[in-house]
Amino acid sequence: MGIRRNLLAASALVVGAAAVLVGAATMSQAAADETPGVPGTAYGLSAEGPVRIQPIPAAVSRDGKTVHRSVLRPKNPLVSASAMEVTTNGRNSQASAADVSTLQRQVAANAVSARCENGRGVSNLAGAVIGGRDIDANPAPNTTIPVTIERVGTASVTLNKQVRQADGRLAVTGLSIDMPMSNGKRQTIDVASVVCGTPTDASSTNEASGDMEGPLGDMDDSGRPRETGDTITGPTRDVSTQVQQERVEKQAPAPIPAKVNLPVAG
Amino acid sequence: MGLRVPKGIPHRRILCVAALLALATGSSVSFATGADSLPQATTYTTLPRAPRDTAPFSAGTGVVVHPTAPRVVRATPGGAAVAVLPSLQLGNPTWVPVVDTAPGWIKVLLPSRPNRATGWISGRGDDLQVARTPYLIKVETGARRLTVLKSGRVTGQWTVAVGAPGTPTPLGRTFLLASLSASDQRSGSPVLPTGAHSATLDTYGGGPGTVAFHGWPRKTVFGKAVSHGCVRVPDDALRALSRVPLGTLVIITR
Repeated sequence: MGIRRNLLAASALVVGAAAVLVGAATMSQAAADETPGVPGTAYGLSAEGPVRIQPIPAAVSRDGKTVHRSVLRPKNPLVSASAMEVTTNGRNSQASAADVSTLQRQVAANAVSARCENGRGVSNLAGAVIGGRDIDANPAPNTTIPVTIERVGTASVTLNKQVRQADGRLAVTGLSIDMPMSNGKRQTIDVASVVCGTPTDASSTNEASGDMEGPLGDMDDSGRPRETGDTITGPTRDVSTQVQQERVEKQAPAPIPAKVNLPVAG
Repeated sequence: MGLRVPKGIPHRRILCVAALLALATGSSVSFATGADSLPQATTYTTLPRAPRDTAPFSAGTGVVVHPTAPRVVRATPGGAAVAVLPSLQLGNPTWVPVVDTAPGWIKVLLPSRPNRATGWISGRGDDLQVARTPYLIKVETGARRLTVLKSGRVTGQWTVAVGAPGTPTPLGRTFLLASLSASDQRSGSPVLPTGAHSATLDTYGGGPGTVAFHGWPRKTVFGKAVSHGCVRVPDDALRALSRVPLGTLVIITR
């Protein structure tokens, strides 16, 4: 059942049968640019979950100089888009994508962009139609719209997503999709993402840098490359503190037997 | 005991899904769990670099956590990475018990060999569910006794079968790893694997020697040390155990 649901979900997310290799050169360039602790980054498209897409295109400014990357048509299996451009010089960053379409065309926009202006995040969605609804071009931060995908489930589409990271910087994403899969997994898709501001928490940045240099490459301890913080309005969540202060009250669920055969030690 | 047949199905299924998904989506994508240079912390793997449990008979914190995305497991808080803890174990969501904390980090028991393997995972991020289990499971091998406690009170006690002298049930602290339905077991009995493994059998019946709670068709075994390491329990004990949350501690003493 779970396998079938996963495959259905994967099929629903795939935008075309002609999915081909993401350019190896582009991906290696993105990896090379990912110096930990840098003040400015801009990404066109990235995804986490059963289908993972490393940021493409990706611009990272190490020294305040302007870095610009573009991809005419990012080849990937999840999102149809054209003319993705990303630029950052550390203080100001911008990411944009044109002709965006995904989730069986239930999420579409003529253009999606996110940018940092002196530490503030701004997103713009031109001609956006989500779940059959026309969307305001300048949605409030973290505007979320549920979109039901037939035979798969309900995706959560967040516009102008703004998340304060553990290091104090602000991550702004023009279009962010969270699709629950079977067995508690999630597929996320981010289009037009920038990170604004300068780190204020050196320890958090150092922690991330260790992960970047470690054997997992760009995956951090929470299974995601950069999003380790909570929303902009909430405090940083730390389970260790909850345990120590005995603040865990939610009851653990009773198990649901799985259809798996395991030969055990009799 | 000859009731189970080696199949290796979990591995094959995972490979099959991975292959199909890759075909469906284009082979360029990578999987979030695809940390090639680190082993997964599952019942099938051995993690020689994982630190051992330093309090193997302690009742722990009562807190269990479920990573909804893979988590890096480290030997010390912020130290060397030794494994990746996946979000699923044997078709069940991964729930592991928290046995210690440090600022920003939690120490959990792991389901891999060697017995008493532990590791530190980051306590930060949204991809970590946290909950409390009021249950505690105790197995006394000498007395052949299983006790289930809830909020410190005994809710059930049964005479069970434990490992034979040559294949003993390993002592120490482990946890309920998964719940496997009866219809999918060769024995016809539900199986509740723990995080522990037989110390004398590297493999058993094609599996990795996982120690589990399961039923047994003949009541005559109960009260005896006759198994290959598993704990064979009466049907009503199995029903009671089946309601206990995954990640709940199992403390096995002499």
